[in-house]
Amino acid sequence: MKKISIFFFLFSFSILDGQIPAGYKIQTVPLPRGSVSVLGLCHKPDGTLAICTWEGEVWERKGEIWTKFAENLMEPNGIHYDEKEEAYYVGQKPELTRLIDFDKDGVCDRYECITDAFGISSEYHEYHFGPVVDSLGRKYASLNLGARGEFTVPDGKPFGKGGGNMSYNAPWRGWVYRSDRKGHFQPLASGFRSPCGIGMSPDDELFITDNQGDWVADCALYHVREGNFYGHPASLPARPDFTKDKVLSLTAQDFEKIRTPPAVWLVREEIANSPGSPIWDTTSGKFGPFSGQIFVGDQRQSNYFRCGVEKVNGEYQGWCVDFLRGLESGPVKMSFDSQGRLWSAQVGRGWFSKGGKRTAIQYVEWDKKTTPFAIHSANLTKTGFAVQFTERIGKKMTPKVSSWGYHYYSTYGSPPVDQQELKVSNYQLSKDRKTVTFDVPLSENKIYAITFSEQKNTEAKLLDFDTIYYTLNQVRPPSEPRPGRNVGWTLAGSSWNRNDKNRPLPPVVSPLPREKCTLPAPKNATVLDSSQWTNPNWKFDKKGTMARSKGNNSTKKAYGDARIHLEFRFDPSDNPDWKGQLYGNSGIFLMSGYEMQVVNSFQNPTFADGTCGSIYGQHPPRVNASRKPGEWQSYDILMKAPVFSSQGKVDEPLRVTAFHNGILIHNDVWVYGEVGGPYKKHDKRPLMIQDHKGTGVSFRNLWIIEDFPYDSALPEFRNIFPNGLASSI
Amino acid sequence: MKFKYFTLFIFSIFAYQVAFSGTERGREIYSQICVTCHGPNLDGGIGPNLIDSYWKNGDSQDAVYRSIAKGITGTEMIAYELVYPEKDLRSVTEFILDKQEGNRDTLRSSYSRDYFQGKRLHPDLFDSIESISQKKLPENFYYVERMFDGVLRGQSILHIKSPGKYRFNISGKGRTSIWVNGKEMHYSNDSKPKDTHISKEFELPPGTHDLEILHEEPTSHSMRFYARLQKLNGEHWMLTGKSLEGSVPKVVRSSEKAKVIRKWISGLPPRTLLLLLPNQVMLAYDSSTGKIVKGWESAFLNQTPSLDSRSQKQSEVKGKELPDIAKTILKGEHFNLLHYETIGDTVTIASLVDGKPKNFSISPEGKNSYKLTF
Repeated sequence: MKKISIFFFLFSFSILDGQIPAGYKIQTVPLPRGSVSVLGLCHKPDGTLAICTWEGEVWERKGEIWTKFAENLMEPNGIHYDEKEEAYYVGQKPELTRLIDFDKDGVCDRYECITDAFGISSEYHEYHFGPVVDSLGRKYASLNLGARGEFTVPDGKPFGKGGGNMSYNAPWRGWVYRSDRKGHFQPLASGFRSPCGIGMSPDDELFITDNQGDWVADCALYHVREGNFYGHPASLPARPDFTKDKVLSLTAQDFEKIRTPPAVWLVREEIANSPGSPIWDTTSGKFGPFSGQIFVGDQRQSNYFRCGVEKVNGEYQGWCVDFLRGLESGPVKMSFDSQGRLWSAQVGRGWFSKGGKRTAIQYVEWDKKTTPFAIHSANLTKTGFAVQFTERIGKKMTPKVSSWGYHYYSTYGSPPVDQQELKVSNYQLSKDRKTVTFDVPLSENKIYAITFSEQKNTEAKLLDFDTIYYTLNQVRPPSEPRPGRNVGWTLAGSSWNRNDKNRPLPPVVSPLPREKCTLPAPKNATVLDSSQWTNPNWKFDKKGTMARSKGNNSTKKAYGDARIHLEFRFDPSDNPDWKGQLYGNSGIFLMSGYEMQVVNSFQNPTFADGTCGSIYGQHPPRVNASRKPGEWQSYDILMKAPVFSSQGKVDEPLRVTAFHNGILIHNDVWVYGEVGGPYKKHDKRPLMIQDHKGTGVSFRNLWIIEDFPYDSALPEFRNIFPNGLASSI
Repeated sequence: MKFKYFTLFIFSIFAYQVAFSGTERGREIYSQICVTCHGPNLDGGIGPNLIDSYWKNGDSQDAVYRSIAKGITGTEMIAYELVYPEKDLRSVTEFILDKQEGNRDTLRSSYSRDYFQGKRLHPDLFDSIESISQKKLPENFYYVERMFDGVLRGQSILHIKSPGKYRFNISGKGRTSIWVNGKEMHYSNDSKPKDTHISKEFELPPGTHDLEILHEEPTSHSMRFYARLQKLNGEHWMLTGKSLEGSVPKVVRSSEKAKVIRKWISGLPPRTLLLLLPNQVMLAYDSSTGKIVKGWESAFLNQTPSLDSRSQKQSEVKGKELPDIAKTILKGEHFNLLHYETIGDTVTIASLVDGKPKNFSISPEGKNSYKLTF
């Protein structure tokens, strides 16, 4: 009997005993009454804490008092307060919803559907996580695959069949999307399984954490770049260049070729089993010596851990290390308050959480003086690693280093593959005794566990967590590639640089038949014939065809919001010198400053955001629907002029929806700035066609409808071409 | 510790058996006072349901009496000992307990499995050793936490209202022994999960009976044990289930203000808005087709089934289904929900139909109907 009691005593002790770094403390906040399982939280600028619950409610806590703000929602899995709009956004299971309190009485008055353009099949696992926002205020959320259903990808070749249980039951499941505003839905990246964690870095870069399972070897932190595929093939049928049949005909090796690996593997059991949302320490030191690092909570481990990433050969990779254990339940979403305290929404319902409680709200605060002895971070060097500590270390202790890889297959999770203990050499300690560098054999696509088990600081204290895990996707190249040229704007949330060579090319699809794309000018249109242009070098022939000529060519009249149609043709060329950007280059400059690229992209690859139909340097077309040189092609453009404040600030950027050869290539995208620089306040400006070095280009059937009401015309405009969407939107 | 619990348990059975009489006074008080919050059928309203299988503050005679007499802090349940003499409150307690059916007053104990190796499960074995934990469960079924590593002993009172033949229906891995009023009614021992076991049949007269369930199975992520009591050609009661893990049941009822509810309901499209009007009419409006697809009167939403685990189970609409309620409200091909809001008894829904804005409002009419305005 005694033995039993002791056993249970120890067991429960090990659960309750936290590992909390020196100077930090965990505080628990009482929950509102009733049935409450906390899934998300956020802070308002006035300090109000808001939570959303699995049961479908939103509560606000001012001081110590909880009040119910909204109710009867469907499993909202994340909440964000938009300061500008003074409204909450929640990711309800079937839609992204804005909650507006018009009369400011603390109770939601209007439930506004922002987007429900993604599918849902009623399979319980189709969770909807988010939203988070970029600096332009745009919302991002992630869509879980179903746990059951008909479309699974069980192909485990070359390791044998098995697994592949997560299912694609409805459009865009397994994707991350962006929504600019009401009614707008822009799928960003695919290949996710159960992307519970979503976070936006201070530099407008999106990160996702996913859970290990079929096709996901281990828990992972992904750096999400628009257009990339992150590994779970069941999400691929939504891509315009895939079908379900095509996905099933491929093997793991095929998917491997197009997949982007995680920036950081979050090692199972040691770090995470069900990671939540990443959050960046932007407290400028209020939360301790980890400014700029990424904090993530794990639902199973009931811990907070830290991550950091660095660019190696243009791609992020990095490390993770445990930070604090002993939370009451499983943290899924986090928020820093103005005092630099790290709050978390915790839930252990459905998935076992080591903390043991069904749900909790806790925050962790730092005493603002004690530096905990911890591994601060790690960097890859050309020959090994540099590991930083928060405090001066005592006696030098060579770390133990091991490495392993993972299978990429449809089986649930992967065991470590090719696990090795590695020989550490050339150990060096920096003068300030805080950075250790050493050499170790480096190979790519491996995780390196670097363990300082006996390492003490100068006061003989051991580390709370002695192992840092570095995900080495690539070794350092002889020289880092230069990032794209900055012209005064960034591609917020898409994580690409301008003219990035690594950006995936738009999928090639068939255009609509040409006769369907030649639209005659409606009555209210201005036909842009020879009388409308200013550059005399550009001449119309008898058939109404205008060839590109010397100098740019602008219309006489200035335009704002507009509906534009035009047709263009590239002179065929078999000269191998005229390829890439030199095969028929021109451009349609909307309002003289925003370029829709004109270049031959038929079997003539170039960088993605320079493809025919791209908003040059910013948005590649959704798909490449180019025809052969020599054939007439068409653009149909609906655009809304940017709106500037009286001070010249951009209140609303230029918006574009466009078809190339009858296929939708831009679905109401925001333009980040002019092609050569940031927005500068302007009024209506002429439409301009660019002169550019390259083989010949001709234009015809150009017409424009001025002051076309963009917002009200958009739904109808999206449907002007039957089957022109190339894939469901 | 063990002794104390056991005595309490015995005492409560005894107290029960002698107390079933004179519930008339209880009925009277209930229909005057309690009914306002707990409903004429005891199925709740402002206050909790009193005949479901969840008892936040206990369902033993003592616990129910205590809740009535002392009230529940922080709720509208006041201390009725300030209003009525003890005798009256005892009658109300009896009245409530008389309405119960199935498993009640559940006590769950767990024991180390070592002691039971090679021994046939029997209540006497449990009485001679100390339990690791004992817990009165708020739910009227047995559950254990994940990765449970022990032997389960469940003790409860069976409330039977109609006489007849009963039997147990069991499945799961491991061994199970079930006792009613001190007699073993079922024993099984499976090394692998098998098809359902049906116990022997036995007569149960109306009243309360002593039920004891003993169960052991190998440790796994979650226990596979499943047991229910079946009345032959009649109802059944779950004896095992999943816990709300510290949460409480949730029911959404009509109020003076109309409500729009978004929940997953079996058979309804996921983008359904449930409109619950003050006259207790509930309409299922599918925002993706512009149609009312179903409707109920005397309706409320029971969210409790969806509250455990990963929400694999749907919420349920309770009420009487209204015939011929299906109706196309908006005609078109493409529907986009824009927003909804309630002002007083009226719900207004704004949509885009084929790109054009369309609004309509729904408000209650009569006892079981609604009014539609554009």
